[in-house]
Amino acid sequence: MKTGRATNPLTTLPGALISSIAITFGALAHAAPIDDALAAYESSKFDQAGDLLKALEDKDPRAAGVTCELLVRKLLPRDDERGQQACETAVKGHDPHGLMWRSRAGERGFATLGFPPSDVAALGYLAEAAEAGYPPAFARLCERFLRKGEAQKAAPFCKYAAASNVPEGLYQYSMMLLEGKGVVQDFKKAMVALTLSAQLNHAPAYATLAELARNGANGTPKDPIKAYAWLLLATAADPDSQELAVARESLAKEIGESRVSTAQKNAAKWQARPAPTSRDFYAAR
Amino acid sequence: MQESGIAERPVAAQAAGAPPARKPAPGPELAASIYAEGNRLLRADEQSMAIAKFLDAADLRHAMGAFKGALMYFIGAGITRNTGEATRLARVCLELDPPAHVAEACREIVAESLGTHNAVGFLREDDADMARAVEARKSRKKLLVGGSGVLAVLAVAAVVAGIFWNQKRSELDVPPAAGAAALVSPAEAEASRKEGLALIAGLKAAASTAQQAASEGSPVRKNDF
Repeated sequence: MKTGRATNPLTTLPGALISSIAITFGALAHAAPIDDALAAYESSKFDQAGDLLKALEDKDPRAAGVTCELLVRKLLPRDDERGQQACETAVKGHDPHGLMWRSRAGERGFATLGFPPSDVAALGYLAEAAEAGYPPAFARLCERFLRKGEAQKAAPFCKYAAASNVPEGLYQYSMMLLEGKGVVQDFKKAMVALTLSAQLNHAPAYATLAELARNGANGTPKDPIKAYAWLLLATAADPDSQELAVARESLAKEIGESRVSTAQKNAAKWQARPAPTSRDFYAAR
Repeated sequence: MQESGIAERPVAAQAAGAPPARKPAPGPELAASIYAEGNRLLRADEQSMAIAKFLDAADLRHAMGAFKGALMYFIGAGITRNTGEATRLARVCLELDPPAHVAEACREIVAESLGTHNAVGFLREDDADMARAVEARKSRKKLLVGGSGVLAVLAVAAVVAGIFWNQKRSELDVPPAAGAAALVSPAEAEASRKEGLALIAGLKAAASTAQQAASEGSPVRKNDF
């Protein structure tokens, strides 16, 4: 005969299930703030990201790294003290994204947030980010060596960044292939790298493709319609660039309405895909 | 095409310098024989004599005689060029119910649309050749008209194809489906990563040594190299 004793629902199988779901949701709820902050940052809602990061950046190096970037890039209202703290927290926590932006904050010519300019220190932070296996740091090292005219040193960094789908890395590698600097000149490969970078909606890649098609240079046949289509995509990817807007208008006058219309149709067919985010690069490490 | 000094209608016998012959009784056979003589003289390059024969034949209502006389006046062969006289003789030719190809040429003389080159051709060829030449001209005309039509169609097709080709050619280059792996293989990427890290290690070591030397034993900060 059954007794009237009440059973604890949590001791039954459905109860255990419910409790495990509750625990999982609890954990997710706990992890949510950084994800929310990163989601806001990735969708360019920087003020919202900044607010969400405020509560996390003291403890979470990753949150500190993103705050460091936002303040270095001046995407948040200027706050040098917060910026310095965030960058240092990220550096102490060996967050590669933060290391990369701390490096930028100390580069001569770009120094910001009150950090003393030091190219040597900047290179050190960048190197640590690369050692942590963070592909965007390789792209930055590539760009840095190219800027200094050291194409041979830049080559392995550019190549690895390109292989890791970093848009800037693909772009820099394509320029090396086009010019034959640091690598053997290869127009075909250069076009592959350029179109891959363009596919990640990288405005400089679109602009270079436009320039090549407009002038018919480096193995690319002259094609003003194609050039105009690339410029349409470039201005869409970088709407603030006056230079691109002027180039587009000038070419439009040159080719006439009918060709502009063909170019618009071709540009509409182009399918860009989202560039990998810092979260993708973290996950891939 | 003008031969100076031959302005008036010649008479065959006078042109030959022979005494005037007995005038033959008119008739188709006589006209034909005078016309044949005219052709013979023409082949012998005796143009002045030949036209005199053709005109005589025309006077005897010989269509071909009138035609050849018209041709010679039309181009000024053996006689001063005179399109008026050529037209008159061509009309005479047309009245005499000539073969179709001759009638067509005569109409062209009247309309002054016959080309000099064709006229010379008619004059040199014998009657059978002339018929063939006329047919050939007709064929050429048909071919020209037909050919022009075909060319026009081809030109339109080429323009349309050009537009499509231009559009196709101007389509944007699509990157390979394999993505970055088509550009740098995974093995190459790994080798590059290692090469890069080795370069960093080398730079770090060099910087550390230099800094240690400069600061005479002061500790090297982790990220300075």
